Amino acid sequence: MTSLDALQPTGPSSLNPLYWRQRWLDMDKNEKVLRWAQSLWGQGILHAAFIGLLLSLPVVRDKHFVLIAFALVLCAVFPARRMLLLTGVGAVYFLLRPLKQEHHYAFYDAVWGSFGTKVPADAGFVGFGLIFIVFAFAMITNQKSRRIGLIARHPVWFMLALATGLSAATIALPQAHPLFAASWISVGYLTGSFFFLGYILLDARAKSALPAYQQLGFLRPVWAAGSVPLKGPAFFRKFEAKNSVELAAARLKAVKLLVWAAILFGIGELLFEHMLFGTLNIPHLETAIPAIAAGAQETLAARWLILGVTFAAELVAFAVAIHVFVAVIRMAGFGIPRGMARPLSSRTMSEFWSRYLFYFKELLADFFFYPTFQRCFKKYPRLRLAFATFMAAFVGNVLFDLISDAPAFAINGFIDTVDNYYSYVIYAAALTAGLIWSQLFQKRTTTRDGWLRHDVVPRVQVILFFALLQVFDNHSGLVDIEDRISFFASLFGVS
Amino acid sequence: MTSVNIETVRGTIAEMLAARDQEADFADDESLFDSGRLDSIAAVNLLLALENDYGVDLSDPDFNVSQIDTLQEIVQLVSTHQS
Repeated sequence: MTSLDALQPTGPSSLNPLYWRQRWLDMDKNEKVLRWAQSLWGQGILHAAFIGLLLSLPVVRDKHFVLIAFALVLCAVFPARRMLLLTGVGAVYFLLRPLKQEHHYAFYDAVWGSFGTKVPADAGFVGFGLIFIVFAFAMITNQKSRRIGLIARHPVWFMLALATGLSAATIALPQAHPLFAASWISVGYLTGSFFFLGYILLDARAKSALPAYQQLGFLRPVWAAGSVPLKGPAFFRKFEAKNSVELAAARLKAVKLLVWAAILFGIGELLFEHMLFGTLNIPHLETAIPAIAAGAQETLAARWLILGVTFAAELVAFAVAIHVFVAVIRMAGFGIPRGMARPLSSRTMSEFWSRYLFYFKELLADFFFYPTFQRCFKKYPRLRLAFATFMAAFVGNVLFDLISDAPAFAINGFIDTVDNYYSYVIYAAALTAGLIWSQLFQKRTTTRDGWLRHDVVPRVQVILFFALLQVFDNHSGLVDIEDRISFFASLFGVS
Repeated sequence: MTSVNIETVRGTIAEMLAARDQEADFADDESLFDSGRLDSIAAVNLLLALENDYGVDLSDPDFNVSQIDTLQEIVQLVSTHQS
């Protein structure tokens, strides 16, 4: 018997928590539970429990919660039509919340006010949204018809060129110029939906592609609160439950994941917010860096503690958020993979990147890594892999945030916005170097290397690398880059 | 360039899965990459094998990595390129 065997429940026991844990984890494979989950009562109870628990987690905002709950109830009542219903609700969500960041909405109100109309600003969203939907529809149909071959071959480059041109116009034109408002609103819509539309266009020629009008529902799917699309329509079709058993299993997995998110949320609140950041008064990294730069005395051990605690707290907070949205998608009947799965068990940096930010990594791979790998340096395998990784982890990574921030060029000024990226550029460069090293040179260990070399050392290296990276993983501009570099150096005793 | 042998491809994928501490068994229509069972490094190795062993042209603008998410799709892609 190994030490692992000792952890396994050896037989049914109402007192053994591991037994109940295993029963809970296996419930989506338990025939009795699956039958119950297909019954009217089962469906009702699962949905009530899911929606109730979702409401108790402060991850989804009130209005967004209502839309999600509405979509889930619709899907439960008309399960055979759930893709159509979800894309319909997604289209409504896009018309109501087309922009990406809160301060974009405030600026939009000001731009709308400049038109001198008495029509409410929100009504403008519907009008502009419909215009953008016509543009997106034209792009989708062009992908199929290839009428404009150049755009059909390079739809994402075309969108990028368009976004660049429009952003340049918002920078160059005075805000009172009649074309400014049109340019800024176009930038807001295009950049807010950039990768959502990108995925639709990548999928448009797939054999299993949805009708074009339904693909428009993926411009802002109902679960898409964040800026990272959890892939596109073809992906969702692949994981769509094909029968009532699969649908029941997907819903049970949804409930399990949401419960796990709730447990993590509780840990985050109690351990990190209440105990570590609260009672023990350990400062958050983003607070500690400028404070230390301003002269606050923290020992070397305290600095490492701040780094470690913040890293763990961020990990838990992000896990809660991504698990909630994946759970919503599963509840709607799409058994998609988790967005985060045991990141701390990673033995390589590239594995951590996949386990920690699965869908963001997929986005960078789909739009930057694979297209580069398919075309560049085909005769030089190592260079080919390294360059594709650079295009994804550095160029794609920075570009993703710059595209999201494009409407801010006119709000905060182009130079000021880009100035905030110094730190993020260092982060992306270090991440890229780490991933390239990991892919090309990191030795893969096996169990024959022993517990320490196989299970401990690689994991400690990976965790240390990503914990240190977070010092620079920020482009808010609230903390000076000099302070970040100084803090980073101080972790190694360099002042 | 050789004709596609589904068992050879299956064996290659099974080795990749085993190297990542995953169960080596998988169905012909089971998602390998989109499901997260295999990572981008595995995808790269598979792309290289498709290119070198079966002559698949990866620079074809119509090629999308999502076309090789299952064993069925891989075999179909290679067969299409060879026909």
